[in-house]
Amino acid sequence: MSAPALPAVSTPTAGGSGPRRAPRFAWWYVTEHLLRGMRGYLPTVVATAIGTPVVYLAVFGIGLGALITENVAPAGSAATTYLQFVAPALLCMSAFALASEEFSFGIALHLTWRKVFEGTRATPIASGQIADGFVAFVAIRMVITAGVYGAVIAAFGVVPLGAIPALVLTGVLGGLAVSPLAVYAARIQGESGQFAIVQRVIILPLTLFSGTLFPLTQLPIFLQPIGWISPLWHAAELGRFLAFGPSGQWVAALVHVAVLVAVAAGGWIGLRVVLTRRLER
Amino acid sequence: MTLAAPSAGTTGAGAAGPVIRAVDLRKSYGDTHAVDGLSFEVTSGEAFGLLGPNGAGKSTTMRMIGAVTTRTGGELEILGLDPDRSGPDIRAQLGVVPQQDNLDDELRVRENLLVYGRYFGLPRAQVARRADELLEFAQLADRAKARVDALSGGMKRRLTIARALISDPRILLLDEPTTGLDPQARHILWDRLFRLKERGTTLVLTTHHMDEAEQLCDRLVVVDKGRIMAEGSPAQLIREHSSREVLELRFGSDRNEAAAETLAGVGDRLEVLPDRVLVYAADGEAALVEAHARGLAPITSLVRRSSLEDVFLRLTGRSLIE
Ligand SMILES: Nc1ncnc2c1ncn2[C@@H]1O[C@H](COP(=O)(O)OP(=O)(O)OP(=O)(O)O)[C@@H](O)[C@H]1O
Ligand SMILES: [Mg+2]
Repeated sequence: MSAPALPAVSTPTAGGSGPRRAPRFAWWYVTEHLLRGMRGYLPTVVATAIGTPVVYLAVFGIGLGALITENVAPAGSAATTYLQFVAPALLCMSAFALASEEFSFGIALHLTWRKVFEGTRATPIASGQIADGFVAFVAIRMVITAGVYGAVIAAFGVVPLGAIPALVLTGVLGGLAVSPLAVYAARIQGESGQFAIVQRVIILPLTLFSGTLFPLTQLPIFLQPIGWISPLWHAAELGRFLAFGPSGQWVAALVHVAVLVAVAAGGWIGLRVVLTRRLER
Repeated sequence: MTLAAPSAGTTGAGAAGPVIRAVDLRKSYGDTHAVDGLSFEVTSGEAFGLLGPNGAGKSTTMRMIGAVTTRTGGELEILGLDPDRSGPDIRAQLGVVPQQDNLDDELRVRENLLVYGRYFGLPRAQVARRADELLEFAQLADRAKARVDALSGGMKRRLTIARALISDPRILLLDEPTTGLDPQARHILWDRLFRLKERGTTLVLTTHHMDEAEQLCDRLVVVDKGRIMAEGSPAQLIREHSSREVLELRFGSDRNEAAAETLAGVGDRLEVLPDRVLVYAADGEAALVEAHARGLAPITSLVRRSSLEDVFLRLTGRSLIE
């Protein structure tokens, strides 16, 4: 059989007219690739992002909110209803849930199951930049989800609109502080149910006992450290402060920011190291 | 079969020195010496092959050349750069077809080319144009919008090869490029690679198919257990390490050994395989006449030219494909 003629190639010399140097901002191309992958399930992403807050607002606002009439917000806070107490935490929870999914299954998917990152590694992109691009992708996903959440709670008048950008940033920062999970995920070569265990034994308790649905101080003192080590608690507390005050508690707020930034940075650097080790064997 | 002369002069600048230079290249994983002191050079525009059995260290060598895996020892220079220091700049000029496809199943066929082209920092419009050309090249144009997991193994392989060409690389690394392809697809791919070579792309490929090595490679090294057993053009290797012709005789599984004893002294050399006896001789027909004269009655007999398979058998005492 005769093969069809080779199509004309864009450059006359061909065979080596390509780039000679690695591109700048190489990490962005990884993000771009991952975002393109997300396009395939974008309708799901958007539907979930809008549906979840609506359902939660109904449950907590109309359902629980009617039972909980006591004001659980700290003294001096502008929040007066239970719904206002939980709304900033719910926004952070949405980013937290997404981050714990991407930093476990997302890593395994691209690194182990489909070996997509192995393909990326054969291009000018360095392993560390793959980590950077992935973290940026997760951050963008969280901005979308938390942003929609913020829009919904603002639309229902639960949280002042002006507080939403800061709240979204807080949620994203809280989610990025889940990145140490990615370090673990990138280390395991063959996933055999570890992530399901992590979800149930670590993520779920953190979600429930992080001062999200009730103040951490409601817990017996020996359970309160769960909150202190939980990125979600720091994010939720910071979010509440940014939305409703009380003003004047800047020191506590800065501590939350510092903790989140430190954990997020630690996980990010760790992910760079582990990915490099995995991809350069 | 005729072999193309090395296509010197098809590329302009850089044709002078070697584009790949390895000296005593080594890679160990714990106690496993996957690559154990390889030295070779590849010149610009050349098609260079690594031929060897499973576990010989071919892929490991390719990953080092591809500036993905760091070497344990020795020297390595790709396009004049040290992969330990200039990995990204080296990879910017390479196209890589790994042994196992690692396409993104989440994306469509054409999208796999688009995202890959972007990794080289190429503008979107240029990547899109090249993607369309390469889909034609790989005969996948009608599958552009298909999901990757809906492709057959051979189609995926072709897509991986198209992907490796998206940046118009100076060197194309192909690790067992035709594994999983049917004979027709293999011949088409050989044709494609041959054309790339004509345009001046340097090809480095691994294979355990002798016919592939003979078809494509100007020069090759036979590798076994991380070491080079022989080096040269296919014709040279056959001339040096084998006779001109080979007489293949089958006597039935239990009788090969006994027949070989009777054949002692016929031809230059005998090789007894489980299923046949190989008689290496300048004149295969004459050897067959002699075998009959000694009272042997083989079930089948065949005279053929020596191939790289024979070279490999001679050098390692083992078949390439086990
Ligand atoms: N990442 C790794 N970790 C440990 N050992 C490895 C690794 N990669 C390769 N090896 C070992 O190095 C040796 C050479 O492997 P390599 O994959 O380079 O062989 P190959 O010639 O490509 O074989 P094949 O024809 O089967 O593809 C083998 O013994 C293999 O087990
Ligand atoms: Mg291999």
